[in-house]
Amino acid sequence: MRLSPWKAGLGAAARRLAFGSFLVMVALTSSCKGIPGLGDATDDSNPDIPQPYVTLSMIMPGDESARMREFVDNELNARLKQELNLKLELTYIPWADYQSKVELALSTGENYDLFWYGTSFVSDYRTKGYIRPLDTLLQTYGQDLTANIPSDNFKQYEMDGSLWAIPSQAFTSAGKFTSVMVRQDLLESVGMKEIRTIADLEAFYTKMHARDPSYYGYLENDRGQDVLWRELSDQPLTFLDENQMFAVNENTGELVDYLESELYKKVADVRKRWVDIGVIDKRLAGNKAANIDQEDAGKLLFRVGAVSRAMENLQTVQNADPDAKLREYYLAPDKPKYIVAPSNEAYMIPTKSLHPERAMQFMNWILQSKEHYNFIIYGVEGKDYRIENDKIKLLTNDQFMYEWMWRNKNYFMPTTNVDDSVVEDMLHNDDNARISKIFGFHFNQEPVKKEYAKVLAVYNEKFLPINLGIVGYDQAFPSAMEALKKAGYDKVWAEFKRQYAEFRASQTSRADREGSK
Amino acid sequence: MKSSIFTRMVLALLLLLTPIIALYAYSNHTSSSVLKREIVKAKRTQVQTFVGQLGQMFAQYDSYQKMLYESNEVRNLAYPDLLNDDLLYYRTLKTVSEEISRLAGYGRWKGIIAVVYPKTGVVIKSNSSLGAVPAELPDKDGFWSYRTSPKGNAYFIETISNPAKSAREEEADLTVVAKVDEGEIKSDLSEMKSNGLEDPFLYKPGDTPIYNYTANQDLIRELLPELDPVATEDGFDPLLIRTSGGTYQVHMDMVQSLGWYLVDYVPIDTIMAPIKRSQTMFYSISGMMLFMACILSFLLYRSIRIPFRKLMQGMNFIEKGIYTSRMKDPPRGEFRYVYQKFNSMAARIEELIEDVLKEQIRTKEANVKQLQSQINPHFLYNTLAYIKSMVELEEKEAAVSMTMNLSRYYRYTTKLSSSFATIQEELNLIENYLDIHRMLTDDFEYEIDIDPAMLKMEIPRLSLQPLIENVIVHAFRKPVKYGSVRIRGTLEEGGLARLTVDDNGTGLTPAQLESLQAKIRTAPSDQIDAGLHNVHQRLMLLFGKGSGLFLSHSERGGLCAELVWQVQVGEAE
Repeated sequence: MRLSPWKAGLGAAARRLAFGSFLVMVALTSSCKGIPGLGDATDDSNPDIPQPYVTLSMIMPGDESARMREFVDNELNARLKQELNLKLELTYIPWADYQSKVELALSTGENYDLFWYGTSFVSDYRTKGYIRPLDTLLQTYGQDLTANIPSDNFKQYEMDGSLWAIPSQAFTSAGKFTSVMVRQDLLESVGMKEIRTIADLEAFYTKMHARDPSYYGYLENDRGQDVLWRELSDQPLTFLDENQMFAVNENTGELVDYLESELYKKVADVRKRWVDIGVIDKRLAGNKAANIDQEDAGKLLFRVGAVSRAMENLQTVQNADPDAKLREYYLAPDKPKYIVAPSNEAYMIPTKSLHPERAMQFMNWILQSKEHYNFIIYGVEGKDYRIENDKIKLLTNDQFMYEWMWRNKNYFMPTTNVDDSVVEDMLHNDDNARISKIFGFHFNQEPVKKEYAKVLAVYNEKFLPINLGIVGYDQAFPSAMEALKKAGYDKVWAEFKRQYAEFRASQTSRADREGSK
Repeated sequence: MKSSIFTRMVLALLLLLTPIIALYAYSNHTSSSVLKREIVKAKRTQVQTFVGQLGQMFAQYDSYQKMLYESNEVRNLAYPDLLNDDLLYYRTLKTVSEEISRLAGYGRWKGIIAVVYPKTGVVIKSNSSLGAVPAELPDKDGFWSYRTSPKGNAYFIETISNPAKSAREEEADLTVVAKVDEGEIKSDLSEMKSNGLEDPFLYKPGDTPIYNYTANQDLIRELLPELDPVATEDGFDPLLIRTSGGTYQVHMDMVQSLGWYLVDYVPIDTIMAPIKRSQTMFYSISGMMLFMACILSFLLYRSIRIPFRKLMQGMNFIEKGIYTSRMKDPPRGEFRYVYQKFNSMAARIEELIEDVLKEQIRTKEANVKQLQSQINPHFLYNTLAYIKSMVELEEKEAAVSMTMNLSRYYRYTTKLSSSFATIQEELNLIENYLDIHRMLTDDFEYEIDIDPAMLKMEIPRLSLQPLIENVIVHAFRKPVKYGSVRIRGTLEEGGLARLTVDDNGTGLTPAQLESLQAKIRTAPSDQIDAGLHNVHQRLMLLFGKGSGLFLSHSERGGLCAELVWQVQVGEAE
């Protein structure tokens, strides 16, 4: 249609008008959108950041320090939100109840996403169905874990062809829990240099007690018998189970019924003597948390070592006594140490976890770089720590993420307060070490779980007082052993022997195969 | 028509919109005040819920404390003499320590519970940290009190002792301690903040407030002097505090067990943002509607009012007699049809008016021609000379007959009253005319044979006479033989009437016939032939196409001129 000029002008005017009204409409809608509070500008554009924003619940042992609480709430979570889009929520369970509370949480199906425990629990938790296999997660999200942790360390958590835990620590572990950690400063203050025998420990206590009776000795009841074995036993033994009932002879490879052995009597007698002379304070022994309380208070003279405990616990003890020094000793130091597990730390993801992939991402994040590693272990550089001559200078005495959990050969830096001798001890810890006969053995409780539970209950009730020296061996052992047998001790022992024999057989055949290759 | 449709439409739309806007404004006002109340209520409930949560935490530790206080094992440990057996003491201690850590481990709160035996120096506590239980306990038993350790860490603590301790110097056998660190409260406050509170803090007049980790402390310090817990206790309206940075609505509620207030403040603008937003939205949409309404009425104006006005102009032209006026640029839609109809109507009117005018002009022309031809002096001289001769010859009857014929002829031809005449009248004229000429020359004869039904029909006056004149003037000019004229009238089946005049004269060559035919059909000339042309045109104008004067060769040798027209229905009778 041809338009007259006038008409064309009118049409153009109408179009301009319509366009104008459209502009007005756009302006109005956009001004409505522009009202603040209508929606925060979250930047979802980065494809690397996982969606959505979730809370990762993790169980930690011990007590949370005030600074850790603040650090998690502020600096750490701000960063984790940015880099992993998650919020970390830590539930601390005191050491004294750790096992029972963790197992309660796992069995009642609380939705935790990640927790730590010792190597010996992995097999049990796998059998009970508490934890999930991690192979796929590790492959997908764990590049930095596999890069920084030797592949041998992963092998100890491989069962039925699947991986069940992350061996978070990659350092030395020979002779773990068979050493004794001593307040070196106090030892030196009474004119002693080192600990080599049980007599040294007793002398240390006696001299110290004479000077200040507020100091105590050893208070642990769950460990430490094997510390004494190094001196008391002519055969090298290693505990087979966390509950200290059975052992293996490292020379012969045979199982030992420890409770019924002469060695147990010897250990019990030493403990009884310690209670009598006051090395173990019987007024505190029943208080499960007392050894930690006393250590935190700077009143503990010695306790069981853990390869690097002298370094780990220094910070805490210096809180109470700024001059404190710690050092670990092996009794009969010339005897070899045994490596039961290359890493005693195991990070597991519960079956009921809501965000397993995030848990793996979080673990991977820790070992992603030295900067992440230092951040989560030591806090904010310049505020919580400083780097001085390749050492960490701590500016706060509060504990962050436990260093020992994630200690890694590639990132490790000693703290300035730790003596070089302690660091030397650690770096040479593997020198006199051998692989234990039980390396890779995992006891499956399933066939005897009823008897095992009963045996443990009786053991806790009847044998702990003997272990601690509260009651004498001669007086209490016969009735205690009788009760234990009634609970099904023999059946458990037989099952241990059967499974161990099976394990040995498979070890030999594998060795043969490898030899014939 | 001056207050056009456009203005009326805008007015109507305004009238429609105004009550809607007014109604909405009213309902908006009502709903926003309801909403405002609800928001205040919701905020208050929210604060109360969190206060409840905090209270619950402290209540929980209260009950743990009571449980421990009433436990036999806890009491027995205070008296070592009762437990002189090492194993019994060990077991009791184990039970108590396990109980304490069990209690502290439940729930999501991280308070500390402990039993202190001042006489034996034994402390059993749920947290191993140094300083978890303060070295110095409050002087007397009591509910939660807020204290600060020498190191600067603040905490809430409550103690209960056996026997009850009411002064510093009294030494109790055992004291059960429950303690919540300030850090725990801060963490809870931060949690509340992420769960919906704006910027909560804990406040007690006279103490430093406990902030959440990300609190705007400067602003809170500015608010503090205005906080009046008593004033807000009963009233429903929340406290409003004006600061340099704006007005804040403050909600506070007391954590009963502590005596501290949980305070949360909201910038009033934030709280009212949703309401304000919906208001802005409504008003902008109303504005848009108004605007759109104007556009709509403009569009309507363009598509109705403008074409209508043009149509009116066209009508005015027609009214003023400018029949050539036509509508140009027909718009789309219904108006295009109206324009087209208008145009065809105008064309038809123009056509009709032209026809009438032409007919009038031709009638006049015919009359003038007729008069001219009849006032031909020769014709008159000849007839007068004939009459004189007849009188001289005493042929009285012939003279009288000529005189009568002449008289009738002139009377008829000079009568101008009507432009129509019946065929009978026309025939009468023709007879007079022919008789006159026959008397003068006596060299021809004529014959009239008309269908009687035609005699009453009306045809244009003087439309037959030119044909006869043509025969007398042209066909019989050079008489070689005795002339003969035949006039026939027939009425055909289809209502077609024919009046035929043919002669036995010399006739025309085909070429001449064709040229004459063409002359009749085309423009009029000043020649005498114009009479034939005139006749043809008049018939055509009156009776439509197919009518007119047609020429052909006569079977009798001369020319055959034929008047043909379509008889109107009803006239034939």
